[in-house]
Amino acid sequence: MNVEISRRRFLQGSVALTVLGGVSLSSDNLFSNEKKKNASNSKSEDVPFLCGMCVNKCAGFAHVEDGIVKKLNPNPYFPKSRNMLCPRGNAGIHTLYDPDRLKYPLVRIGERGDGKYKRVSWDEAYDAILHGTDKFPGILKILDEEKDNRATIGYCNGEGLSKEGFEDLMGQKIGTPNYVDEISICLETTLAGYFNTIGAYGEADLNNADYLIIAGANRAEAIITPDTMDMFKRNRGRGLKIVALDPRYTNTVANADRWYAINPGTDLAFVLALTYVAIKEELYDKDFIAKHGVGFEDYKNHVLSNGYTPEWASKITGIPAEEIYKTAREFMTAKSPIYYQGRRSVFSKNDFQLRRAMAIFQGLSGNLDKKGGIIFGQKIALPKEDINAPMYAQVQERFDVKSVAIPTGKTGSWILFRNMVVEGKTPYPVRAMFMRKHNPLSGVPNTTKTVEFLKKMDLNVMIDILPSDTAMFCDVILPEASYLERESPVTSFGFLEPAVALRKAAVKPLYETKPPEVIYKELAEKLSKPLWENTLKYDEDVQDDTKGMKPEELEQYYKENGFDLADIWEKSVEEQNKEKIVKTFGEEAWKILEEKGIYYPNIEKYHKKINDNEYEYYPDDKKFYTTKKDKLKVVINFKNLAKKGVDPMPTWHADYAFEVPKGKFRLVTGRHAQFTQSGTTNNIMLRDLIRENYLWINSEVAKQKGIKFADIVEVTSSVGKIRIKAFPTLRIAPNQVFLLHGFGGSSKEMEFAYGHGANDAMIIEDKIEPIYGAAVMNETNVDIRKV
Amino acid sequence: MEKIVIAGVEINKVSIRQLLFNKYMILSYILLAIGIYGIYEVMQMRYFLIGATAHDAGMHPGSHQMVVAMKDAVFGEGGEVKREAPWSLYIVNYMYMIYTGSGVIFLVALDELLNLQIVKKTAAGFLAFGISMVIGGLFTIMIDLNTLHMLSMVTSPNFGAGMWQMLPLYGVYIPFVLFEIYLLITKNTAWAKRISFVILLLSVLIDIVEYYIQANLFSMNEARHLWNTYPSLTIYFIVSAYVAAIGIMGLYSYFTYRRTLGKEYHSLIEVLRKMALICITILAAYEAIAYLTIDKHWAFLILFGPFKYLFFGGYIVLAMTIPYLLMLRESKDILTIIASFFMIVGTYIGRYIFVYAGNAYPMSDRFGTGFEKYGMYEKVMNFIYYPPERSEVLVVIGSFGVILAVYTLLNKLFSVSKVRDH
Amino acid sequence: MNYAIAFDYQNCINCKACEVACKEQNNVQLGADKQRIWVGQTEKVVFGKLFVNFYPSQCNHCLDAPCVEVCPTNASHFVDGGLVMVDQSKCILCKGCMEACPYDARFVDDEKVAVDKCTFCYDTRISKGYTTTACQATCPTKVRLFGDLDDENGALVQLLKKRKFFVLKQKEKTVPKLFYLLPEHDMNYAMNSIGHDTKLYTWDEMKPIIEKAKAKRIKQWKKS
Repeated sequence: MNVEISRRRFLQGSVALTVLGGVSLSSDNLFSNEKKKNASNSKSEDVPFLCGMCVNKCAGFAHVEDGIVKKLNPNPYFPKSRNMLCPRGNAGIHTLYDPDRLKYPLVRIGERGDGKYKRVSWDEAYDAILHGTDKFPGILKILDEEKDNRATIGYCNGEGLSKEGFEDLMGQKIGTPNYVDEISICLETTLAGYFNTIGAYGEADLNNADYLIIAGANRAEAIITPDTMDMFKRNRGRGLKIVALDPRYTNTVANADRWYAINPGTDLAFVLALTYVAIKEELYDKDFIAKHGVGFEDYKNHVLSNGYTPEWASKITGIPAEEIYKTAREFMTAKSPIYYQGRRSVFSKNDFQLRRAMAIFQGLSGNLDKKGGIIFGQKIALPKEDINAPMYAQVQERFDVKSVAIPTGKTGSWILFRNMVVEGKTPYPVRAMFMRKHNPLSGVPNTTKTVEFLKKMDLNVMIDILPSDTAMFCDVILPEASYLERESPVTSFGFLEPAVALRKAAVKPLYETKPPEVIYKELAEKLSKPLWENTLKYDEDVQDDTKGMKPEELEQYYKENGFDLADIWEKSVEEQNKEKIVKTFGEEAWKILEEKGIYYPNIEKYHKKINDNEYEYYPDDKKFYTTKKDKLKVVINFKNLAKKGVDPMPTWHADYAFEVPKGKFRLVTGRHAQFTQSGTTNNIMLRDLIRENYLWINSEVAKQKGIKFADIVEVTSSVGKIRIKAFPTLRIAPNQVFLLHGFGGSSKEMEFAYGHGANDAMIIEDKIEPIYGAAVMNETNVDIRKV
Repeated sequence: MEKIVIAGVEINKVSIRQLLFNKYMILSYILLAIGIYGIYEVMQMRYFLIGATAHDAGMHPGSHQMVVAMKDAVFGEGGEVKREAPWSLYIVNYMYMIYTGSGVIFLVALDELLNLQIVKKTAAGFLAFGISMVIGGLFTIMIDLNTLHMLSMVTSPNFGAGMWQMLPLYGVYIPFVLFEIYLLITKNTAWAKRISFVILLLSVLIDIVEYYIQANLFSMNEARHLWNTYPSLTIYFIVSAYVAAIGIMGLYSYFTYRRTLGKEYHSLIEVLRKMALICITILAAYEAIAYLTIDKHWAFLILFGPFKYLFFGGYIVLAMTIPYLLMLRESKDILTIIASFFMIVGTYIGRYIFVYAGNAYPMSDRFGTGFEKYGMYEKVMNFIYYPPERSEVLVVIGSFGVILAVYTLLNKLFSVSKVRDH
Repeated sequence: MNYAIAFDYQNCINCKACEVACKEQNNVQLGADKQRIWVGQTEKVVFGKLFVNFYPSQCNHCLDAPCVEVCPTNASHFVDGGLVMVDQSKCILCKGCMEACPYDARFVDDEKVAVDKCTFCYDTRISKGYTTTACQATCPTKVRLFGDLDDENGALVQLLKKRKFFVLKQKEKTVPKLFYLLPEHDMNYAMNSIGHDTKLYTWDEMKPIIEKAKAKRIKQWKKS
């Protein structure tokens, strides 16, 4: 018997009175029989947009009725997204109309993390950033105390069409090198592995491939366009044989033709064994390697002499040796095999070598730069503006990547950066963090340390659309307009069927939010002169240059040398977009782009509708299958790496083995199609699909421990502990557990996300891989106990 | 007592205080009050629930009320009606009250046709209680339905639907039974005697039609195989209604006729006892045959699955075994009365199982590959059972109040419980 | 006009884009219960191997619909195109249609206090000139194909002529119009994804069944 009816009561509060008063919260009044408004009465339009719910930027049309976005429909003109919108794409309306959205600028009046903020105007907010308040110092004071060392400011930004703008503002204009890019908690090693081997990441031509090995990439649940759409229309004997490797039985495995439940982090052994078979049995494409390979003979000796046999690999990976032989032979004898590159956060510390090995193996098959293989395609070039970047003499170097083999000056390593700051090991103090569209408390492993890190900052500024966990530790919060409320810089999408895509604003920015480029401009304008004064005070090079200058000359120097921080945004995004397109393609193209949201040369001739479900974007002979030709190189023995102490060829080391202490479990991370990390967890339409995350635990193990479905268990690692409901299933191995990333929000302001589920970043240990300092996500062992 | 005679019927001249504030009415008021509280809860949940639709957030951007409504919609328990088991305690109660009430009326008509004098003498009281039960059942159904749109039953009827046929059926049935009662209590006995045979035949006929329509209501639901494959549902309803009706008649006799009948009380109880034995035997045999033919999935749930304790311990034992044993030999009347009590409770449980088990087998095995779950983190449901809500139980208690109130009014005004010689 | 949908369910990845699109297009309530369409998931072990499969489904708009038969007020009715619609101003919430439906297609809309279900996007898309339902248009792997069974040259009938298909719970004799295409290249998977008593049809076998059911109930089809 139900004890409580926890619904809105008749007599409680004004909510019910509105119902009685006839002004109901829904468009249908209980007491009236009116049909919905006639289509002819309401004004409706379809505005092209690019979805911002994840990295894919699918194109759609926003159906706007009377100024309200009612539905998001797929855009049939964009080759990349293939005329579809995933669940998050459809739910974008609930990010736009999220009632918890940041509506106006906020300034902290309480302590960090307690959620006490004051509503202020934009001017007051910019002022607070510049001059601070009684609770925190402004950037001017900090730079003054640090003698204009711009590196005292760190910044981070989540992926998006306006990411580059923020990088320009903070990195180029304000001049700090300390950019902790989200790439170091994501696919840094994958990109690096492929770039360093075949020169680019490439795209898998899954419409024409006939054999696919997909390892650790869960395309059914981590949707990437157009791979997901192509892959699952050709499986099950319809032309593409899919062999999936994954420690757990994901939806991709459910749609695959074969599954190997590989031990986490041991993919390298598998690939090396495949390579061994290909080399030993001489199944590889000799002509191709002769023409394009660099250092193949070294690798051949390396693999054969190290004995990377399938028998050896089967002990490490848990995959039977005959299966490895079978797979290698099938792969090499297939007409168009692809070893899928994958793109996800790093599983294990050998990830860079793994991706190199995968790229080399793909090279051995010869299936590169042609139909059915990994192609490099073509990008439609758009004019790029030059940024007039000022030179700051006082700025010091990055410190976080000194301990990694290949320091990436631009993007750094989140974990190293944060840990060094927290442990006080930095050569100079880092005192301010400017963050945009990023939630490190959820995204970076070891949340406890991230909290310490944010608390150590003197100034935290956040530009975001939602009051995320991280925003609650910030001093000034600037509300941004969501992707449906703004026009973004026009972007070119390359590969097989390149196109240029435009995002137009479906509605005007709600509340007091502003589009990011406007914020950059206004912030830059506010900071420009005061920071310039600070530079004049401490920067010796500038002082030398400007010695004895008159005010007008100084002003000219200031402008010419890029010290006017706002000059990038003199023209609005809309103007810049039109200029770029008209300059490159002409007026007609701009018209097409504005109407359809997409443009590529000859779009009107090439684009055809075959039926309601299928469109042709480029005729087959016009697709860019082969673009590199002779310039293609497969760098197998990368000698330069050895100088940095990195294996020049993929090599197995004993400590790469998968080991879980008895009684513990290895935590693996992953995705579901309904959520994009932690960015979408407050979206009520998506929460409707999954209320909270559960811990996947093997059914047999659960039975032994007496854990039933929805029992609360406590998961403990060396860095933290969480409580979560259990989901016993056969879909995961007995010594592993899994929980969906992005839940367990700690920000009370996000009322749908708060309190539902658990945050895996709390328990993932902050290990890094040694080459780029990228965060390694799948090497944490945890204890489980029933509560 | 002073009486007024209108159209041959003696109406007791009772004061308002005697009519509305006697002890039975007070008791019914208490029960009704409980029922009204239940109705209040139901109405609140049904009409004053702020739901949240997909477009609401856009129509009221930034509204905090939206947060409350949406949070409830997604993280709350769901609305009043459960999708997998829409028919619940209301249907159980309505089935029980209407079928048993009609059963009483049916049995009395049959007994009168068979010239059982003792029943003829006490018929009016039985019929009045029977019709009160029918009204109590209809009351329960009224709460279950969305009465705001009731007019469409008349403006847009679907004649073939069993649900619709209930409207003309009870529109005719209730006045008809009231007319039967009138015939029994009227002073114009001569005229009454003349048409009594026809009326009694019509009564039997209309009862059979009623049970047929009710059975149609259940067996038209092809999806619920328990109801669809039950052999001759009409007969099952009639027989099971008889068992319950005899229980009601027994208890009623105990409270009403024990003193007023004097020596004849025992013969009334004997009649009831013998009828009960026959009906229980038929019902038991029927159930035994039925469970051989109904869809094995449902049969499994009832006989060997989660319902087995309720079925055997609640229904079979209470409705059939114990009463049968108590009434096997002619002995003290009180045993029959105790048996009646068990029969009432047992047959209620039987109706409960009938409705709840009908929904217990999930519809989600559409593809023949087993039950489906609809979300990643859900348990696969292989058994649908939602225990009744508190508001439903309160409304059921309220229906007892309705029955008591209607009967008391009839009795106070027309003295239907008076033993009358024919 | 006789609208139906064909499902190539082997494409489904259970992303639930269709569920969200349906709710947005038709302004459906939030809540786990309030699904006009859904993707069901089964998990079982077949010869020692795990087998997880996804089954998108919705109201079948049966030609011989039991839900229309039992509705006392004709709130549940047919409209031209062979669609089963609910006139929510007439619904007395007797829930008979919910009991009669073998497919669990119906639920109660708490705001209108009436029964609701999938309408093939008739009032929100088809009658406004779109040729696709919201669920079809949004699907990443294009599982659904909406079309007209009376149009011999249309994409839907052409597809049904080429493939074997089945319907759900054909023993209930409701003549449903959701046609699930049998995967033809992986018989192992195909057989695991259906039950033993699932009858497979070809277009020639199904057409007379459709015509017969249509003839039986077409008098009840109202103008929309």
